[in-house]
Amino acid sequence: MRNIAENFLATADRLPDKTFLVGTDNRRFTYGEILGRARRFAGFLESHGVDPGDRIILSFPNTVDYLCAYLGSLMRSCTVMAVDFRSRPSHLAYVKNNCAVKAWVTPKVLPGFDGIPDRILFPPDLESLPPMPMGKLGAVANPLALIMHTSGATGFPKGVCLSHDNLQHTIRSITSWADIKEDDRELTTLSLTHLFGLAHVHIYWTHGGTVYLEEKLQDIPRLLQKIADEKITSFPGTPGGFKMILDQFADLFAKHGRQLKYIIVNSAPMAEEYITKILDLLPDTRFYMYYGLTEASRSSYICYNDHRDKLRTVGCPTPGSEIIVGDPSNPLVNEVGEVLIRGPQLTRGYWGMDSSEFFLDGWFRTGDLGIMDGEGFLTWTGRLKEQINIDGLKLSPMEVESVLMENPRVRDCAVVGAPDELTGEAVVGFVVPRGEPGKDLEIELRRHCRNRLEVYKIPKKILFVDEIPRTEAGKTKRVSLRDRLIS
Amino acid sequence: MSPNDRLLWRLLEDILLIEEDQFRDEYGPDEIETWDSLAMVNIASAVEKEFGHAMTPEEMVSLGSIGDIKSILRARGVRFE
Repeated sequence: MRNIAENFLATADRLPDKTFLVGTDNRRFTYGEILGRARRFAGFLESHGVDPGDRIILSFPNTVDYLCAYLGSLMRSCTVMAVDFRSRPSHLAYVKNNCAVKAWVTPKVLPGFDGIPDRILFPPDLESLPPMPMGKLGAVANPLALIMHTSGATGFPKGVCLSHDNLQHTIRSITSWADIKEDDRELTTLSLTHLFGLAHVHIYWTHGGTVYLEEKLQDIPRLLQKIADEKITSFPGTPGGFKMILDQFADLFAKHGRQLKYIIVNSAPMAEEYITKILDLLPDTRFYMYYGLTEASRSSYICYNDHRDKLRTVGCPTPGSEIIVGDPSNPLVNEVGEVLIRGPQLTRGYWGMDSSEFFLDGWFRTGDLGIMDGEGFLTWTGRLKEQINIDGLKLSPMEVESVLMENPRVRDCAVVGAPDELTGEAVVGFVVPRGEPGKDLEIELRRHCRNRLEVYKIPKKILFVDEIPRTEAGKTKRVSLRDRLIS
Repeated sequence: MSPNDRLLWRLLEDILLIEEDQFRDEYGPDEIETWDSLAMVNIASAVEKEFGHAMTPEEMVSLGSIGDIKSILRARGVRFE
């Protein structure tokens, strides 16, 4: 086992004066400076009684402080739960209880979070604190690096356990085909509390590259100008984000994106029309797509420049990983079935729960449906599980349903993912109301959700119905509701 | 509230789920957590549908407040209080 923070230590030793991070305020920090800060944070954790092997939550926006806290926590041999800064207090409290967390660290206490115990505020005077001695960094072996929470079928998030070995494999795998080097510069608008963005930071600190932080995809002309000015070479994003850029600023994208070496998309399927548009606008840029889940990160990939006849697919298995469709004893070819994955990137399971039902003879059951063609290219066709995917952010319909049912004006309800042009899917609620339905009730219910759920989980639309279709066993017929929306 | 103010308020209520006391010219993404880049696209599209005036992409990304939406529409002859 090699702690992924050791990759950073090796780079900081080799390239101490090289810029590692550029903050949202354009302040630049070298590898040596970030090492100093991370060591101070590791010492700060020790002074607060956080020991190697402890689990801690980091709830930060995309900032330099966050990455210092993250590195410092790994150097202290802690297991990190990265929680989106915009999460609801109930989500953070759930994660904290689910994983028996020692402490949660945040730069700022937002309203509603003050009652959650064991909080540690990120020290504003970090620079004046004593650094942890180099010899103590990562001195205790803790194989578990991260526990990332993802939506569960029961409506409760599940903690996906990811080891340092899992993450090291992902770094090696991406490096083997994406050729990321120390002179690469990546601009990231992805939340670094999710694995897509965070895994890229691991790769960059391993190879000595530079990461430019942005809080989110906003003010697109400024971002595109920054890509040109800073000679950015890599720009990862979601299909919805690229659609927004292409719909509104295709010319600017073509003009400022010329020197990009890579564009990397992940998280959700992308329409062929937009893939072609990117290939045509930036013919010299390598355009990659990953497919994977938090449980099995970067399991397949494709470079669309090399396979213009495979634009509907998400590519072939990444080095070391295996993907089949259907039954392990008799995998399907050119037929739809459940996508199964195995390989060194695969999680060992979920924190604190029996995970056996998610595995089949050592293969992880993704709950995704796909077709494997005769050449080994996978096409994602839908989902077996009832999860909704909003441009890469996943949620369980049951979570939204349980919130809707708390409202006294809801007699019954069901939630589905409806096709959406921009985000792939959108949350739509079907509600059997108590009393008169109407626009006012729709807004009241969506506001009810706004006060209890993260923004992406709020239903975009609520439709009133007389009855929710269910099977004899009482299971909601979501497919029939979804079909009703499509028709 | 004038008819146009009411129309804009209804439109923003639907997209941003704001309460009436948040319908203030100086309010924007910092005050309204549902106002993200996706909401911005939805606002521009709803404004075009309800007021019949399309925003340019540059105008869309410059939207920093409810007052900015009104200013863009005022420049096209729409009257607000």
